[in-house]
Amino acid sequence: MTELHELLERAAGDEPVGFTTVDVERRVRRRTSRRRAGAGAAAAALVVLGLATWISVDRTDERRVATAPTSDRLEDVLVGEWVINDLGIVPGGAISPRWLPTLTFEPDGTVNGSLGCNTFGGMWAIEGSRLRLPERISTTAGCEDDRMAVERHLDELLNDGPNVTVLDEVGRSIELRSGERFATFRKPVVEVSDLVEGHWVATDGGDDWPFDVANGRTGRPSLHFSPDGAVEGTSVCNGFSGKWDVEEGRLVVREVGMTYARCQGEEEFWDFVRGSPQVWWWDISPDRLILRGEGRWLELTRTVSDGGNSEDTPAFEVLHTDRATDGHIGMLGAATDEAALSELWEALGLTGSVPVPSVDFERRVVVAIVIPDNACPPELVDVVVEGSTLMPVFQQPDGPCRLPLWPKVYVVSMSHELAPPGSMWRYPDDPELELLRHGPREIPIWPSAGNDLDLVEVHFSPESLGDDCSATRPVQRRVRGVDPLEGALWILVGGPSPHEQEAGLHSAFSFQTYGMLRSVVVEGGVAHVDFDDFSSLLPNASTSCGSAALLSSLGRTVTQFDGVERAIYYFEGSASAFYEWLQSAAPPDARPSSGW
Amino acid sequence: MTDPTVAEFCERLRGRLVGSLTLFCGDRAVAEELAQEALARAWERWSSVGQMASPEAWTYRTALNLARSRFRRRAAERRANRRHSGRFASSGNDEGSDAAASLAIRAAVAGLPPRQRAVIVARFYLGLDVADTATALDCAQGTVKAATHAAIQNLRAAGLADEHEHASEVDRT
Repeated sequence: MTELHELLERAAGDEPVGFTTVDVERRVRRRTSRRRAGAGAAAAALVVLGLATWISVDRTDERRVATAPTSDRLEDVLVGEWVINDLGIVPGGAISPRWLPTLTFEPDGTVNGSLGCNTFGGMWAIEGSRLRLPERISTTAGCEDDRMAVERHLDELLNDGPNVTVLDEVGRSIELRSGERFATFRKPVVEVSDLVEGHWVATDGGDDWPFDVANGRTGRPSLHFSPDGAVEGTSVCNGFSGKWDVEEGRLVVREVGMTYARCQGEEEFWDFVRGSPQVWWWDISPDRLILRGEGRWLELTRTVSDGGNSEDTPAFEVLHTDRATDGHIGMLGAATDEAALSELWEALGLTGSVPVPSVDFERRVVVAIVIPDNACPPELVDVVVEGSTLMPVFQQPDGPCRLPLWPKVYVVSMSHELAPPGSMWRYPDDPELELLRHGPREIPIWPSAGNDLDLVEVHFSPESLGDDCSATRPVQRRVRGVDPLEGALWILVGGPSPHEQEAGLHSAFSFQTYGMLRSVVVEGGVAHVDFDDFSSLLPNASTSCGSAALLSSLGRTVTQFDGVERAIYYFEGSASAFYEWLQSAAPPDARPSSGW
Repeated sequence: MTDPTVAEFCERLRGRLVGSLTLFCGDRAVAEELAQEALARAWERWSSVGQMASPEAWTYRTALNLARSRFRRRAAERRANRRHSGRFASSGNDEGSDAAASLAIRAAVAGLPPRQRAVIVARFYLGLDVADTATALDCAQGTVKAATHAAIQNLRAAGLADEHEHASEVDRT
């Protein structure tokens, strides 16, 4: 038999590599120039100094030039909030945007942050180029294994007194390193130019406000930033105008004039806005910000479109981008009237947090798609029309991802000229888009009879099972374009959405198992359900209680449909593989492996 | 002005890195993108990476990290790979062709758990020994040996490695 290394040589391929060393250098230069171009006014002097030095020396020494700060300067650079960017390989650990580790260095010498699971506080100091965090006090909660692995990595790194290296000229990226252990952090900086397009509407603020900042019925606070430095806005019942700027990561609003109607809590909102809150990007969307200050925070979401009500509205327009829940991957939805759009909004989990856009359905149709988690999700930039078929055009963003790691939803509107009645939406035959096809690959943009959303129930376990391991609670989901039984199982195997988890629902299934349904065939009242072998991903499901919970969730989800009395499960065509995993025997009427 | 050392490093490593990632990811286009990004990061940090005992190991580790980030939580990706794998296995007309065989090998390697995959690529494609593989993957040498053992068993089950290979390679240091 051929040696393994020879097989690998052959499998790796010997075709010419599609990029050259020059391409690598260009990528580095683009990145460098982008960082330089992005420097804010406050960092201008630093940029000039760094650039002058950069020009005068070998470019590959750039990092060293930028990273030879005096102790004083390093301390200045560190002050502020930092968000994790890279950890290298951490065995058993992976960063999730749900709990991004952060470090905040205060100018008074205190530091606080989160290393993944627990929060900590203490003092910080720079000794030479090393970061010291004496007197660090941390909470002692336990979290999931991957979070704890990341936390241990960072905890040990900080205990080592890591060397601090500033990775760029403007002090927005640092590396903490001790030997081979390292972590890089970045400042989530927002630029003036990022804010000038669209209106920013408050969509969340936690429980820290004396009024419901995200309650659409009473009106949400909103801000509109003009390029000329003017800002206008509304709060719950007052309007205002003034001047604005972004200075060192803070939103600065001055010369505010406003109306003075009495509304409870208004003054606290204005104190907050005028208190120069920190401004951050938030989540995957470049259309979402967080303002933080005075112990409070406010989430703002950009609304750009006029809903296609203007003659000038482009034929294809992205109405809204947002993060999506794990269960939505591959989702395609369309709306041709207000009711359908509201339904779509609800299916996307946006109801209550983001206003439903006003769309002129006399001239436009709306399509929503969800693309999967990716280190750098491609951007939906256009559609190509071939006959009556519209195919999306994706484009990798130029340069590093700004806000990666979340499933992403796009809501786009298209003119009737672009998407006339009878049009179909279809993904092009591109292996890179394979993941999108776990939902329906093709749908009519104009819904017709038989293409309505099907309401299905998916059974998850209540968080506290008590003595009844087989207890379940149904949640309602909508599926479109697939057999409802298959759709329900798709959703079940993807686990409960974050909203459902917050509501106390639990399942052994999660995003880890999303997409592992292979097929469902119903014969004689028995559903034969074949999965990829997810046994290694569900280590607790083979316990007696775990298997009872799993089988009851599956069984109740499957048997809700007429004509299905029970189900037999398979791992890759083998019932014995599935049932042996649960330490039981396969039903006698299970199909043999060769029966598939 | 370009540092000839880093340019030479990129030139020397890029083909091998793309090959490694092709085996790791099962997709040449993705591998090229990840390799280019890993090399760009090495370039940006060359003042420290270039001083390391093995810049290649650092770059390989960075590339693996990028790959893992890209495919983090992508159980669905496995499903896609398996579908490809099944398609290759059942495409009788192409079974004898080099292209089909290469794709089948890629699919088999891509079907290994991540650590086993990384170990197999590091040792049998990059030619790293146990110690360097352990350095590149930030794990103990015993872990490398165990993962090699398990990976070869899995590949043998897929008809891609034999007993001789198993016995001779697991303990090779």
